[in-house]
Formats: sequence, C-alpha cells, structure tokens
Amino acid sequence: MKYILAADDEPANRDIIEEVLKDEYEIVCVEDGLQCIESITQRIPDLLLLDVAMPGMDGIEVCKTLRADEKTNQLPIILFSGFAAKEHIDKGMLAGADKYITKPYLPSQLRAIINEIFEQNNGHH
Amino acid sequence: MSALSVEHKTRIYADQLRTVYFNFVPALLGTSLGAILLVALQWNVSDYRALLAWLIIFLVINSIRGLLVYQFKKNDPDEQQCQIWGKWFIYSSISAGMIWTIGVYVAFPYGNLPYQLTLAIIVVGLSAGATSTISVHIESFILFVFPMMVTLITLFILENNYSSYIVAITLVFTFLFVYRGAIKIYNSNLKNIELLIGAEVREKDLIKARNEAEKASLAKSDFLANMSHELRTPLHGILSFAQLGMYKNGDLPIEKVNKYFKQIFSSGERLRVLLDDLLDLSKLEAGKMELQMEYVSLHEIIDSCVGEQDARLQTNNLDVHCNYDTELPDILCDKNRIGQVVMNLLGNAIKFSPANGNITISTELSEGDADSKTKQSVAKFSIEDQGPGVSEDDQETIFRKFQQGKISDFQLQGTGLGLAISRELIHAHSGRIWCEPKSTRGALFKFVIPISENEQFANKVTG
Repeated sequence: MKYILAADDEPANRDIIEEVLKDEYEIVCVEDGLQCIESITQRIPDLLLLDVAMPGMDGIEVCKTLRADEKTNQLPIILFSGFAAKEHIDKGMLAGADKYITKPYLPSQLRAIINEIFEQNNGHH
Repeated sequence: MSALSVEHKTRIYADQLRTVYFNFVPALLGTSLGAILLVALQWNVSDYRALLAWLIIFLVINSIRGLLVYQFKKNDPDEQQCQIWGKWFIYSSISAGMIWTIGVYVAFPYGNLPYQLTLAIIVVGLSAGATSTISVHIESFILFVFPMMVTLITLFILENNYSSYIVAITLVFTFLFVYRGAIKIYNSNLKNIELLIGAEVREKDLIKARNEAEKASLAKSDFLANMSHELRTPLHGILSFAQLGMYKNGDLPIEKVNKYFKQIFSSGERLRVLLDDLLDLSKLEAGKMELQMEYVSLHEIIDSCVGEQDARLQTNNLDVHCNYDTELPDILCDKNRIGQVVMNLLGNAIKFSPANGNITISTELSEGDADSKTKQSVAKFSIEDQGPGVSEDDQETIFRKFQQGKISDFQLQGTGLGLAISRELIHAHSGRIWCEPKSTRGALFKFVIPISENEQFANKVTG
C-alpha cells in the first residue's frame, strides 16, 4: 500500500483527505509545515499532499526545503490551496510542486490526480 | 506670497541667498576695481592720504566679504542655516555700504564739478552693478546703495549752486530708476522660485497620488486573493463532504452521515460568518452601520463574552483574570457591537495563547485620552495574552483587512477581518483601538471609548 503524507492546518480538510484516501492508501495527516518536515525525516512518503497556507512554515517553504534535499527532491508533491490566482500557482510550481490544485476540488478529482501521478511514476520506473 | 507656508518661505529665502552668494565674486572684483579707479582719479583733487587709508580699509573689508562667500560655498548650508548666512550677508552689505559712504565723502572734491561728476559716475555705476548682483536679496541692495547715494546727493546739495542742484536732482531720479530695476529683478526672481517650488510640489503630489493608486490597486488584488481563499476553503468542505456522502450513501453508518452533515454545517457556518463580517465591514466603511446606543456595563459585556468562550477556554486549559475598575460607570455604546469587539480580541487571545496560559482583561475609568486629545471621561479596556505577540512592524498593519496573523503571502489565520471590523466599530464609537508594544512575551490590545456625550451616535446612522 502506497504511503501518502498530508499537511493541512484545517481539521476539516484533514478529515476530507483521510475519508477520501484511507481505503486505498496508507494516509498520515499533520497540522503544519514543521510537523510535515519532521515526519518526512522519519519516513519518506510516496506522495505528499501539501496545503499552501499554513502557520509557521507555509507549503511553499516546505516544498522548497524538500526540493533542496537530495533524499526528497524526487518526491511527488501536490500543493493545494484556496489561493487560485496565477501568481500563486506560479509560485507553487516554481517552488517545485508537481501539481497545484485549487480548492474547492472534489474527492473524485483528488483520487484521479493521485492515480495519474502514481501511474506516471510507475511508467518512469 | 501670503498663501505660502513657512516651509516655502524658508525655501524661497534660501534660494535667493544662494543666487546672491554664488554670483558674488564678480561683484567683489568689480567693486575693488571701482575703488582703485576712484582713488586713482581723485588722487590729485582730494586728500590722497585719506584716499589711500580708505582704499586699504576697503580692500580689507572686501577680502572679508570674499572669505564669507568662500565659506558659504564650502559649507553649502541647508535652508535653515541660510537664515543665519542671510544675516551675515546683510552685515557684509552694511559694511560695504558704510565704506563706500566714507569713500564718497573723502573723495568728493569740493568746488570741482568735473571730478564731482567723475565720482558720481562711479557711484551710479556701482549702484547699477549692485542691481544685477544683489537685488535678489533686496535688503542687502538697499543697505549697500542707499547710504552712499544719499551722501552723494547731500554733498551735491551742500555745494549750493545751480549745477550741483541739477546733478543732485538727476542723481535722485537715477537712484529711483536703479531702485525700480532692482525691485523688478527681485520680483522676477521671486516668481521664478515660486514657479519652481510649485512645479516641485505638483510633481510630489503626482508621485504621491500615483503611489497611493498603486497601493490601492495592490490592496485590492490582495483583498480579492484573500477573499477567494476564504470563500474557497469552506466551500471545499461543503462540496467534499457532500460528494463523500453521495458516493458512500448506502454503506455509511449513521455516525458517518452525522459527521459529514456536521462538517457541511460548520463549513456553511464559516461562510455565513465571513459574509456577515464582509457586510459589517462594508457598512462600517461606508458609514452606514446603525448603532443602537444605550448605557450598559462594560463589565457585563466582558463577562458575557468570557462565558460564551468557556468551552474553548477549558479545552485549552486557559485562565482569564479580570481586573475591573469598580469606579467605571455604565458606558454609552451599542452593547452588541462592543461585545463583538471584545469577543474578537478574546477569540484572538485564546487562539494564540499556549495551553495552560493566562489571559488578563482589565478596565479603567480615565479622564481623557492623551492620544486622541479628548477631555471626556473614557473607559479603557485592555487584554493581554501569553502568545507569540505581535511584532512592532505589524502593530499597525494587523488592523487592516486580511492582515491578522499574516506572516507570509500564504499564511492566514481566521478570516483576517476581525481586527479591521473592531477598529471600525471602535471608531464609530469615537474611540480608538491599538496594539501596544510589550517587553515580555504576548500581545496587548487596548481600546478606549468615551463614557458618555456620545449621544450623536444613538440610534443614528454613523458617518
């Protein structure tokens, strides 16, 4: 079972991710960027779902930090946020995200995007 | 000129003085040449020893004036310092005027009309020269030219003959002509400086207006981006849980269904609060918020807010200490709106306090508020927490829309409208609200509102 780590400061969003993915994946949710980095140092996930707007260390910073580390620079990262302007999306993609999803997204869309990323990665391997 | 500010008058004076100082070296050389010419021409018809002594003193004074110009250029004084340099220039002009007056007196050959006329030509030449060099600083021009012209005219009158009277009258007209020329140059220069200042002021105004427009545009973009984020987040909750419920409809236990409905409800509730906040803010900003003013106890308002937050306080194991001023009478306010402000400040204190922390709320009756200059009795409210606090740079900006707790472009906590609404509400009560710097950890928010004499707001539309 693939292991997915999700970081979001909104409890409702963490609930949604868990509800949507728990049957197909091993899913762990953390509340902020620092916890996310800490969790990855313990165990590198197969995919990271990362909220952009978080207190302490935002998703962009987390993304940059992970891309700067050779252990995690290939880790698939999906950023998601309510910030939907082009400049925000560009910032996320420049930070090294594989995808930037704007809220609201539907559970079915999230599943489809995750499947697509895993299939791509399998293809590469 | 009357409409000009003190600042502009100082600037004009400095510009005039700089014009004089920077063009003064040729004038000094010209007057030195005039002095030598005077002594040479009058050497045989006047007391040459007196002339020689005069020339030496004259050259000493002119050298000192030269030194003054050198120092001015070297120091390049600012507008304020120019006031002092102006005085020095006046003293220098008085000295030059006096030495020329003495020169006219010493060199005047009594009973010798041709040489008297030679002297008169030199003096008129000097006056004309002064018109082009120092008339911009009109006081100096008058102090330089007036004494020697008056002395010369008086000496011609004292000659007491027909020719000398004619020369004296001619000199009076010449002097008036020269003076008129000087005034014209002075006014023209003044107008040029005023035009220059006007152009600079307009340029500054334009730059300021452009910067403000850019800021407003940026604030609008920020507002829309934040608004989009704040609307999309609860909408995401509603849509996601609704779809989850729909897809798993048959398999879901009742607890799950309840959980999904609760999540949909709380996301919807969050949207409602956001829309209410936006509506409040737009009403307040447009001055259309209706306040229901009545005399109420601030302490009762605070107690009610603390009571409402009891569950959150217990969850986070936070203690609220209330230090009430028992002298504080009922205050004239809209209790719901002041309650909204207190609730917002208390909510922030709870949100940012560490577990097991303390929150201290204090009230105080005060005679007047030093910062807003009111002499009325005011109620002071303060709330202090032990959270991360507010950095000095953010103490003003956090009261702007969507600025609360904003650390980076993407870090928002809460709707970010609470403090903006609180500030508008306190302003609507003729009070003020601020975040006070603290030497220790934590945030300290205060507001003051007048206790009474606020009747103009009662049941009226604000603004």
